[in-house]
Amino acid sequence: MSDAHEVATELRVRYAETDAQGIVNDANYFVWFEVARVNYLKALGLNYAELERSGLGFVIAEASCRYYAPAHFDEAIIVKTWVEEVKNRSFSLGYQVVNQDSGQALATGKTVQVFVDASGRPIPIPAQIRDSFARHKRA
Amino acid sequence: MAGTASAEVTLRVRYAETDAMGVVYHANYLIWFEVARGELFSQCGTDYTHWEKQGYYLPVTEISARYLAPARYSDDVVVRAWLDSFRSRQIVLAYEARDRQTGQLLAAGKTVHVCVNCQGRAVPIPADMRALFEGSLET
Repeated sequence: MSDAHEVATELRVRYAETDAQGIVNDANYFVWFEVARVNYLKALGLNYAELERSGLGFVIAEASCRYYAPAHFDEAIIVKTWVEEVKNRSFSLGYQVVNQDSGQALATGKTVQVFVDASGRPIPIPAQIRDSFARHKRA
Repeated sequence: MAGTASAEVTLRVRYAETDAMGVVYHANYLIWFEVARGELFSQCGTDYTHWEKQGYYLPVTEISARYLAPARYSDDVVVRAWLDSFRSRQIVLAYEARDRQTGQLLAAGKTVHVCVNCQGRAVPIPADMRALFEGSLET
């Protein structure tokens, strides 16, 4: 298991993600956060697909994003991801979207996830996973 | 106070908007918010396109959403948008999505928009746009 408290996910802007302004539509940043989130968990040794197959999962309870500068088609993007907060049933992840070539920060965001069982009821985060989040939490 | 306090659209959940959990994917609510926002502009008397033709743009600089209950395929969802507040260069809109049948609140959100000109520079909201918003401020 990696000790890195921040994981970088690389993306390239797809045409489908742009809008009439010629920039990535705001809603698509949440999809980038998802890609980064799944990647982050993998870096911690947690495969989300396997988690769901075991009858557990988490749902998004809150999501937010601040946009500083636009992203355009074919630009190389890095989404940095870290654990911000760990509670009994929920955990928060923070994100920073950066243009890989210029290094410019394009957006920052946060999502709150709540663990649920197969019927969608909130449950405590399994101890092993919570410990791992707590260990990797960004100081 | 004259004008429309809020705008409402009713959407029927499309299969394409659902995900593997059987519920509407969280990022899609942002697109629903956009639909309600467009309706708000129209109801205030001027389509958003009109302002772009005048050289004024209102890009989203901040977005947040809280998810309270899931929406599922074929549900009718009422999405309401209203003006939360505005300053000289910025407007804040608020949203909620409710199940039409039960009235249950599914999600609530806010977007912050900064008025920019075609060079992308922040400019004061033009007086005529301001007048429309002033008439629609929910009290």
